[in-house]
This record gives sequence, C-alpha cells and structure tokens, in this order.
Amino acid sequence: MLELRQLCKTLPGTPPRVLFDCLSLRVEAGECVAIVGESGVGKSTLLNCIAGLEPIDGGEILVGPSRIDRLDDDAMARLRRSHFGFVFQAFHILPHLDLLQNVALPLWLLGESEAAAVERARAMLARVGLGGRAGDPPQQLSGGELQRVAIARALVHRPHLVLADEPTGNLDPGRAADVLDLLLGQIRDSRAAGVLVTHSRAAAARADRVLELRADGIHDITGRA
Amino acid sequence: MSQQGFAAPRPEAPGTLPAPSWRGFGWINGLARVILLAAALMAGVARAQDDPAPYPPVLAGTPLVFPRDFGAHPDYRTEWWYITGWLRDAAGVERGFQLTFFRVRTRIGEDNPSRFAPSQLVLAHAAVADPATGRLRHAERSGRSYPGLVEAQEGRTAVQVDGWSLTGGETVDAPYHSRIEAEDFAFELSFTPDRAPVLNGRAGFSQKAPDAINASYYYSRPQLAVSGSLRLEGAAVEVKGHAWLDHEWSSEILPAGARGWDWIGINLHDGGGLMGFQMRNGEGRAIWGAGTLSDARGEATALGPDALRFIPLRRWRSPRTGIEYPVEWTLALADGRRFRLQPLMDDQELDSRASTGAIYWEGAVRLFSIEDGEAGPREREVGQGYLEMTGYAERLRM
Amino acid sequence: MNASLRRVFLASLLRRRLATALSLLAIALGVALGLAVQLIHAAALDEFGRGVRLLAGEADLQLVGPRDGFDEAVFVRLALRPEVAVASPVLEIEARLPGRDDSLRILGVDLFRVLRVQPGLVPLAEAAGGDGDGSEARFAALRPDRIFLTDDARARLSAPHRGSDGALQPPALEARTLRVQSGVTGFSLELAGRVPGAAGVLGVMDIGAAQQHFARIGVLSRVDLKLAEGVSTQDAIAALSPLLPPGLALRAPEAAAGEVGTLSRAYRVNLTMLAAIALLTGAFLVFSTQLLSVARRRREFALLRALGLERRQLMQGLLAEGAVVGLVGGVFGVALGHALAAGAFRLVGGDLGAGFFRGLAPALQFDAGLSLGYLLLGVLAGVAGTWLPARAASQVPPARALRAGEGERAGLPQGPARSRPAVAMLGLAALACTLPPLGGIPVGGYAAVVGVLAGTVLALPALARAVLPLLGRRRGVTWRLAHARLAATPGQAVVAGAGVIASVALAVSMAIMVSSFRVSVDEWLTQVLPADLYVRASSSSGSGYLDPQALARIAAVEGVVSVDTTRLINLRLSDAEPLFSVLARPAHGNWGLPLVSGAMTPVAGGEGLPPVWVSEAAADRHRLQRGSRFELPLGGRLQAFTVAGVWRDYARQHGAALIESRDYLRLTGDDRVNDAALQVAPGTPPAAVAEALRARFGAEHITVALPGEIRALSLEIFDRSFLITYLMEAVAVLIGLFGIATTFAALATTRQGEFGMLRHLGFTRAEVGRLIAVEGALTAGLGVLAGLLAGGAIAWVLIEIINRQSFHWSMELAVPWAALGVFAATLVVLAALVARIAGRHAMQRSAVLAVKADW
Repeated sequence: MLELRQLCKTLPGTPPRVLFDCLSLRVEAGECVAIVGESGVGKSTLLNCIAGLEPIDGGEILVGPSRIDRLDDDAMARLRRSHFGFVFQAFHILPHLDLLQNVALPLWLLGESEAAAVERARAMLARVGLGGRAGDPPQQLSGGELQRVAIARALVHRPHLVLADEPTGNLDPGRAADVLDLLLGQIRDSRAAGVLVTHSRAAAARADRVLELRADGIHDITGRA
Repeated sequence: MSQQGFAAPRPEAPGTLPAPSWRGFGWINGLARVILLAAALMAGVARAQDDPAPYPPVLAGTPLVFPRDFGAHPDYRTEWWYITGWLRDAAGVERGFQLTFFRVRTRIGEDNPSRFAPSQLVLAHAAVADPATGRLRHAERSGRSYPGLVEAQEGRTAVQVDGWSLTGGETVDAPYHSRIEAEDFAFELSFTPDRAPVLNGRAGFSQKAPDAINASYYYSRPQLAVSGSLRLEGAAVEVKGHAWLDHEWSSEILPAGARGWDWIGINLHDGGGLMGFQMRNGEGRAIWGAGTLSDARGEATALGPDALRFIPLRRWRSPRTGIEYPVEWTLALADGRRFRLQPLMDDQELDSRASTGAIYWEGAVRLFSIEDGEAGPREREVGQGYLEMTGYAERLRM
Repeated sequence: MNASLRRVFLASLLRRRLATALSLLAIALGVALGLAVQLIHAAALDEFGRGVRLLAGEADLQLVGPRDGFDEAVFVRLALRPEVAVASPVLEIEARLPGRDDSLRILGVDLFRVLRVQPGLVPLAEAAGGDGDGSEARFAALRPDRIFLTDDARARLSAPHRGSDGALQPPALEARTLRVQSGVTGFSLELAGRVPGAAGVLGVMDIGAAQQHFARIGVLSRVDLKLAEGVSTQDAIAALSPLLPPGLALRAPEAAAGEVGTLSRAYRVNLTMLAAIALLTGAFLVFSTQLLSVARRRREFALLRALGLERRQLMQGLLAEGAVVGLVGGVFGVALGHALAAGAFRLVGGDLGAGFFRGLAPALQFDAGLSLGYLLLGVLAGVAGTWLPARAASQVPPARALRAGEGERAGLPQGPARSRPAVAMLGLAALACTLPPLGGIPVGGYAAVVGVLAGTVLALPALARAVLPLLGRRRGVTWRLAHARLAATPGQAVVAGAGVIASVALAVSMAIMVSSFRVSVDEWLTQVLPADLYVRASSSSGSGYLDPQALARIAAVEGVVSVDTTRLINLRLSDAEPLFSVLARPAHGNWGLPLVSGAMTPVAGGEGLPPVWVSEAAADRHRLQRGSRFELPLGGRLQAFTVAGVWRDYARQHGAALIESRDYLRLTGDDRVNDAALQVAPGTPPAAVAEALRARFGAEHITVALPGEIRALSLEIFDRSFLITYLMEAVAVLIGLFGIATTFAALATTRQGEFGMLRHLGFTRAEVGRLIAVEGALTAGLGVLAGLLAGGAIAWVLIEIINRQSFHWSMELAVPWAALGVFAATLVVLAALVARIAGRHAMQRSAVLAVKADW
C-alpha cells in the first residue's frame, strides 16, 4: 500500500546533515508499522515526507500503484484528503466544532452531503466509543477521549494510509494503551496501512512490525523491543 | 558777545509798528510745525482736487472787534490761545504754568458731511514748572473738531479738546476758565482781566518778518488775575497768581529762513506788561524782532525791530538732550533801559520727543531791571512772566 | 519591574511587531486627530485673539453693536464721561473689491485717538522723500483718498485672486492705486503707506473719509475705550451701560475671541467626538491584540506564575505593555497631530473649512499642556485596552494553563452571550436622548452615542447567534468551518469586530446625517430661491449694496417683471449672545420661506405689532412660537413684533428673524438692500437678463446669479465643510480594518496548530487562505451589520438630538442606501483581504509543521 524506495533526505545547514540515505520501506494494507528511534533522528520528518509536507531529495514514494513524490502542493493536498488519515500527539481537535463536526471534517472536505457525512461520522464516533456524545463540545473531553475523536476523524473517510505521530505522547500510560489499541484495531479493521511514529517501545510493541530509525538507516527490530 | 550784539547797527524794519510775536510757534516748532507742514501739503492736494476756499490773507487795517474776535476764526490756517503765568499756593510756593489751545484748518474734507471730517484740528498743550520737581510736567491733547467734544467756537473764547477746555471772553470784562486733567497734574483756573485787550503790532496786525505777508492778528491780555486749584500729586491746592493770554490767528506766518525764536511775556509789578521776541536765522542772528510795552491801564507802546534786543547771559546744558539754552538774558531797550531775565529754575526744557518730537525751552522767569548805581549795577525785580526759546535743538543737530 | 521581567513583558511587544505596530498606529491616529482638532482651533482662536488684542491696543473696553454699525451719537456721550480717558471710534468696512470675490477689511480710524488707544493701527506714510520720523504719516493719514495697508494686505491685493469659480481675478492694487467699491460704484484709493503694528489683511484710513466714501455718515462699528486711571472695567460697564441704546454692549476686547470660540464650539465638539471615537477604536484594537497575545502566552504566564511570579506582578507587567504601546502611540500621535494641523492650515485654513475664522493665517504652536494631555489619553487607551486581558490572564490557574491542548481556545471569551448588559446600555442611551443640552452642548446626545456603541459591542455575540443560523451551513467546507467557528466563539467576533463596529457606526451615522443634511439643504435651497435671477452687490457685511436708484435701474432692465429685495443686518440681542441676523424682505414675493410651523399670514390681532418670522434657532433660543412677542433692537430702539411663523434656516446657526421690508424701512429709515430677487417675463431667458444687468452696472460691481448657480455653490461649500469629517471617517474605518488585521494576524499565530492540522487533513494552501478570508469576511460582516444598526441609531441621535441642540436645525432623514451598501460590501471584502494577508503566516511551511511543535 505504501512503499518508500531509496528515500533520501538531507537537512539544509552548514554542514548539511544527511537524515536518511536510500531508505526503503513497505507497508501493506491492514498492516501497522511502528517507527521508533531517538529524538532528532528524523522520525517525524519521515512522516512529513510521506505526507508530502516536506520535500525529499531523492527516491520514490508510492501509495498503491501511484508515485506521489512528484505531485504538486495542491494535488498532494487532494491526495491527503482522500487517502490519508492523521493522528497527532496534540490531538488537534477544533474547539469550535462539536465532536460530530470534528469527525465529519474530512467528509466535508471531500464534499460529501451533509446527511451522509453526519451518518458516517456518527457511526465512526460510535466505533471509538463516543457514540452518545456527538453533540458535545471538545472542551468537556479528557485527553484520551480527545484522541479517540482524533482517531475517528483519521479513519472516518476510510483512508488507505493512516499516519500517527506520537499519538500517545500526551496521555498517561493506562489511557495510552487503550488509545493505541483502538487506533491499531481501527486501522486493521478498515484495511488501511498504518505508520506510527513513537519513542515508546511499549507502544511500538503493539504494532505488526517495529522499525528503528537510526543514523545508519532503518532496521527491523520487531519482537526485540 | 552781548556787547557786540548791542553795538551792532541794525537795519530799520519797514514801518515802525511793533512786530508780531511768534509765540506759540515755540510749540508749533514741535507739534504744530508738523501740522503746518502737513496742512500745507494737504492743502496742495486739496487744491488740486476740488479747491476748497483758500486761506484768507492777514491784512493791515482790519479792526479787531471784541468779543467777536475772542472766538475762533476757522477760515484762517492757524490760531492759538496761549496762557502763561505764575501761581502761588497758601504755603507761598511759586510755580509757573502754561496752557495753549491751537486750531488748525487743514482744508481737508470740507465737503464731507461726516462729523469726523478732519477740516479743523484742535490741539492743546499744558505744562507746570514746579521747582520742587526740578523740571516740567507737561501733557497734550489733540483731535479733529467734533461737535461737543473737540471744538473751537466762534463769537467767544470756547475751545476744548476731549476733557480740556478754555472758555470765556463773552464780554471784554468776562473772566476765562480753564480745566486741564493730565496724567500727573491737573488744574482748574479762572483768569480775570482788569483791562481791555492790548493790541500788538499795528492795531492788532502783527508783522512776523520783513515781508508783511508773514503776519497775524494778535492781541494780548496781560495781568490776568488767576485763582483756582492745582493738583500735582495727591490733593489739589488752592492757588492764586497772575497770567498772560495771547490770542493770534494767521494764514502765512512763518518767514523763510527762520531757525528759531526767543519770546517773552512779562507781567510787570507796576501793573504794566512787556512782550518781546526776536527771530533767529541759521547763524543765530536776529532777523526780526518786536515788542509791546503796556502800562497799567493797557496803553501800549510798540517796540520796533530795533527797539528791543536779546543778549544771552548764561547758558545751561540739558542733561537729557545735551542741548544748550541761554537761560539768562540781558534785554536792552533802545531807550537805554536794561533788564535781566532769570529763570524760576534752569531745567524748564520740554522734551516731548516721545509724542511730538519737539524739544524746546519754555519756562517761568523773573525780570530784573538793571540800574547803574554808584556801587556798580543794581538789580531790582520788576516783573514775572514766561520765556520761550526754540530752534536750539536744530542748531545742535547741524 | 525588574530588568528580567521587563524582558518578559515588553520584549513580547517586539516579538509581535505587526500587531504592536498596528495598535500603536491606531492610538497614534486617534491621538493625532483629537490633538490636531484642538491645535487647529487653539491656533486659530489664538490668532484671532491676537488680532483682536493688537487692534484693540490698550483699550480696556469695546463698545460693540450690530455688524452694520450704530449711530455715532453714543460716541460723544461716552467720550465725555469721567470714567473714560479716551474713546477711539472705529468704522469697520468690509470693502468689496470690484471684480474679485474677496474683500478688504478697512478700519476707518481717528488718527488722534488711535495714537492713544490702539497704537497697532497707527499708519506710517511712505511719502517720497519723507523724513521717516513718522510725523508726516500721521497727517497724511487725514487725507481722504489715502489708504494704509498692512504688508499682508499689500501682498494679497497686489496679486491676482483665485475666485471661487476657479478663475483668476485681477489684482485690486496696481501702481499704488486700490480699487474698492461702495454700493454699485467703484472708486480708487491711493496707497499711502503701511500699518506696521498690525497683521493680517487689513487697511486703515481716515474715519471721516471712510464714512463719506462708503456712505456710512453718522455710523460707527466700534468704540474702543481707554478708562481713566483707577476705574475698573466692571465699574465702567455698570456706569456706562445705562447710557447705551438697545443693541449695543460694552465688553472687554478679549470677549470677542470668546464669542468666536462660542460660535465654533459646537462644530469643534463634534470633531473632537469623532477623534474620541477614533481613539476608542484604537483602545479596542489594543484590547484585541492584547487579548490574543495574552492567550498565546498563557503557558508562558502559567510557567512564570508557577515559578513564583505574583498575580499582581503579572497584571502590572501586562498593563505596562499596554502603557508602552499607548505611550509610543501617543508620542507618534502628538507629532502626527502637529503635522496634521500644519497641513490643515495649508489646505483648508484655520477653520477646518467651516468658515468661522475667515482670513486668518494662524501659525502652528506647540502647546505642551495640550500635547501632554493627549499623550496621556494615548497611554490611557493602551492601559484600558489591556485591563481586561491582563486581569483575565492573572486569574487563570497556572495548572490548567499548563495543560496541553489549551492553546487553541485560550483567552477567547467563552460562555453564553449575555444580552442584559447590552439591553441596559441601549436603554441608557435612549434615556440620555431625553436630556436637555448643557451650555449649548448636547451632552445627552453624545452620551447616547457612546451608549449605543457600547451596547452594540456588547450585543454582538447575541447578534452573531441570531444572524449566523440565517446564513445557512450547507456550503463548502471552508464556509462551514468559518461559520462553525464564529457560531461557537462569538467572543472572537467581539474582539475582532469591536473596532469595526465603532468605525462603521461612526462612518454610517455620519453618512446618513450628512446625506440627510445635504438633501434637506438642497430642498431648502430650492424653497428659498424660487426667483429666476438674483442680484447682489456684495455679501451681507460688505461695502457693496443696492440703493433705490440701483433698484430702479434693475427694474428698468427689459424682461424684469418684478424686483423683491432683502436687507440683511446682524444685531446684538444681548451681551452674551453672538450676532443675530435680521432679514428684511417682502414676506410674499420672489423669496421663499420654508416654514416649519405657523403661517405666512400675520397673527390676527397680534396687538397691532408687525409680524416676524423666526428661524428654528431663534425659536429654540428665545422660546418663540406663533403668537409670541419678540423684540428686536432696530434703529436704536427696541421694537416689538408678533411671531407669525417659524422657518427652517441652515444659513445662520445663531438665529435669524424675517420682517417685512416696509416695517424695516419705517423703523430704521435704512433703504439700502443686499440682494434683489427678480422675476423674469415668461419667454425671456434669465441669462439674457443677467447679461443686460452686468452690462448696465459693470460685471465687476455686481454678482448676478441663477438659482441653480447659487445652489451649486452652496452645496459645494457644504461639501467642503464636511471634508474634514470624511477624512476622519476614513481614518476611523482604517483603524477598524487594522482591528481585523491584528486580530487575524494574532489568530493565525495562535491557530497554527489548527491550520497545520487542516493542511494535513488535505486542505490546500488556497483553501486555508480562503478559510481565513471567509472568517474575516464573516467577522467583518457581523461587525459591519452591527455597525450599520448602531450607525442608524447614532444617525438618528445626530440628527434629532445633537444637531438639533448644537445648531438648532431640523432635517429630513435621508438614508443613502446604495452608498451604504457599497460601503458595507467593500468593507467586508477589504476585511477578507486584510484577514487573508494577515493570516498568510498560517500558510507557511513552518506553520504546517507546527502540529508537531506543541510547546
């Protein structure tokens, strides 16, 4: 579903810092890959490169059969809205929208009719266990609940690829496990490919594969975590 | 110097009648001279435009008629009523005073129905010589004639400018009243005559220069009894004294070449009066002079151009202006009588540069007769009056 | 505050340079406008007062009366009084200059009295070969055909004059010959010299000559009195006033300046109010930016609080920020105010185009007290704008603020919109409208304006709640998002829109008021100018006039059917009041009278008194209505009239009365007239008659105008006098737009996470920009809507309360719908643009990546 071929990225500066060189990676539909690594090694940058938010210096990125690394800004945005889902460390639930609206946001963006959007968003909220709170404002929610909303938003439009950057970074360990289970379960259920950046080995362990990003490249450490 | 002047032979003036007085011209030299100049200037313009009536000439043989001629003669170019005298208060302090009202016909705006038309101007000047002050207090008022406020009426003496006035002369015996209210002095005085007016010159025709065109109508009223009040500072004091009034009107009065003049008007202790003047040219020499000597009844003797001579005796330099004035004179009459003029105080200079620009000397004087006795000349005070000296500033400037 | 704290707070201003700069600019503009109005007025008044003092010289008192002068008999009466040392009569002539539409003020003076009372007016001759000691000049000044001019006058008169129609008019002074006009005849005066002690455009000549030349025999305009030593002015006024005929008054020369001050006071207060609203808008702006800045720094503050910063210190620090913005803005404002005033002098003159100080050339002066006062106002605006945000920030529990996810919503007013304070405020405004004016100033009206503004700002959230559902949400995602955001946080609308409301309300109310005024004036002009042709020799106070001979010559022109005349004189009804106008004209004829009450027919009975029709201002001031008795000092006596009607008069703010020509002639014997209205025979073109009249009198001696021309000229003057108001409106609107800009610039920074998230979700760069623009448009739209509503209400207050009480004139409401529509739409579009530009930061790469950077 997602394939990185010979990806190169160098951070500008004096001297320029090579972040990754000829990095290759493949994630299948329904598979969740966790990427761990030390701070500053380039985990988030990798995620941003995949999302098309940061340019790459070499290599290819494919989603399904299509190369996306040559798409322009707007085409990339359109691609993201239909095929990508995102979960952030800081939730980024819009405070001025209620939960349902927050979840419906990607559907709105895809131009779905209001009725269909509401129906799907409601169903999605139910799937993350917040079915009864569709009309609530986000202010009343706890961090874990907010991240559930975020997960619902990331999956409501059935994306092919879900990118999650430290999704449990702002949560206490108990909540983190629940949320992570939910996220991974939902990704698998919707047959999407998932890439999870985290530096929590515990979190990473729940993924199908765990890769460690190091200065010398990416290494599969599944099971060793 | 006096000897020289006295000895010098003098040409006879035409005619033997007493020459007119220039007095008042002292002031004209200051403020009024300018008016005359301007009036002449304006007269020229006025003539060119709509030719108002000309100034009537002063002619010999025109009889003066009183009380009519006590009043104003608005057709003539200039006219003045001039009073000088000595005052004595209850404490015996003696002071001199002087009061003049001028009338000038400008020949401007005579066709203008506006009451503000400046066809006639009235100007007044007053001064008090107080030895305690050491110098003169003086003030002036001037204005265009305006009914009820600034006037020189005909038929009797009635001149006023703003609050200042001189009235009287309803009859030949009628007293005059004057009222002056200045910033640092004031007086309200009555002047009572005891005789008919003394006509100067040829029955009131007073020649001013060798050319008879320079002449005025001129009479004097010597020995006026004065009473009234004088205020210098604080309260007014009652005063008594004697005064001399001149009234003169003319159209062409200034002789050419005149630089200045010296004039006296003395009330003699014997009840008579002495008026005399000399007019000086640029070199300080007398070019004309005349006088009138009258007795206690008013009988006048005219003194011709050579009948009276002024000889400077002592000079005083003004600390303010640096001008030197001969404040003491010897007077020599052709009949051999000699007199000495001595000022009440030296500093009776009038410095009105701030207002009219005029600087001259005008003050109270005593007249002493000089009689040759066995032990040298003997002096006796024979009268009190006023001396006026003009034209010294100009000479200084030259 | 110690150095490190100073770094924490004040340095923050430097970090958000744009917002700080805009707040600063807004305060600077508010301060500058207010200060400029005061400076201009002070300079003009000062110049006027200086002129008066110069001309009055050492006078202790001045006898003043009707502008056309009074019988000189009173002069001698005063001059002879012991209280008076010198009385100096003056005849003032506003000499018409043939062929030019400016005039020369000529003072006819008595040289001998001027010397003692008004040395500034003493003329100095420039006689050829003069000895230069000045004495000659004094007597040249008596000559009837001579005039002495100030250097200003000489320069002005020797130069061509740009007429009101733009054409160049010839010099009035050529080869030392000045052409002036009396009646319908021109004549020459010879330039004799200067008036070295006086300034301004002024001529001096002999009073007797002036009376003769200008046919004012027996008339004086003024008598300046120098009092005798030791006499106080109060004693003198008490002793002398009984001697005065009705309509004359004694007053200190300084009072003239005060009178002019009174004349222009209402206008000035109006302008100051506009400036105050600009400053208020500036304070709103500080409020917006500080609120957002505080929101953005919540965590910073929480951290500082957690580290031991006292609540009071935090508050002080934030207030210091506001004060610094206010201070710097104030300093700029003071400088700008002086620059504006200097520019205004050059462009519109010292009267701000209102015509109160014609002919003055005031110099700008630095007024330390005034400048300091306005500087403090700037600081006050800064501190006041910061107060609420600072208080809110200091009251936030540090623990909560430190939590993640607080950033996006922090600081924005939340919670249900409460409408009670808004309703109370609007109620108070309505109550304030019922208050009577205080000293001629409509205090209640101004209070109502403030109340309406405050009430509207408070009602904005409720308005947003009420309006947003009507807008619908079934549109694109950007619309839905913007809509949802505004609906959920109407407080943000208040923050961003408050400035918009104030400025839009101001602009809209002024637009409605000016439009109503203009429409009413236009209508009024049509009513008062029903004739075919109008003839005048000069404006009312000028030396040109029409006498019976001239009128006969006019009537004899072929095609003239009837001639009706107007005599306009200005009287003094009491010491305290400005000049009062009396128009003598046939009540029925070629002049129209726009009655608002009463009738053209005299009151039956009416005690046998002649009828008078009074203007609204006169009716207000003197409490007159049909049937009332009204006395006017005419011909040196008080003459009683019966009021027959009240008419609308936009020309004379301080009251006017109309009486029948024949009554005026009977009471005063004055047979000269100012204007003649002609009826032209049907079929004869009025323009042909106008040509014939010009040929008969000389085109340079009379002005012949068609009603259309007078109307056009009047409206042009009208528009010019409102020029400054337009300028201030524009500035206020600009400041309102700044509000949008700063709010959105700040929001873009605060909402970096949000915009970054949206970009992740698939928003294109353009869509984010559109979202910001739509939000800006919606916010501005709400602000504009509220501003329109408030503006409408304020317009009503302006028309019915403030104008009525300040100027005593009524007008019909005329709303310029189309212009307002265009204005509102433009503003919304501009706001969208401004928001979009301000928010460009949100579309940058770094912003996109900001989702990660969560502190």
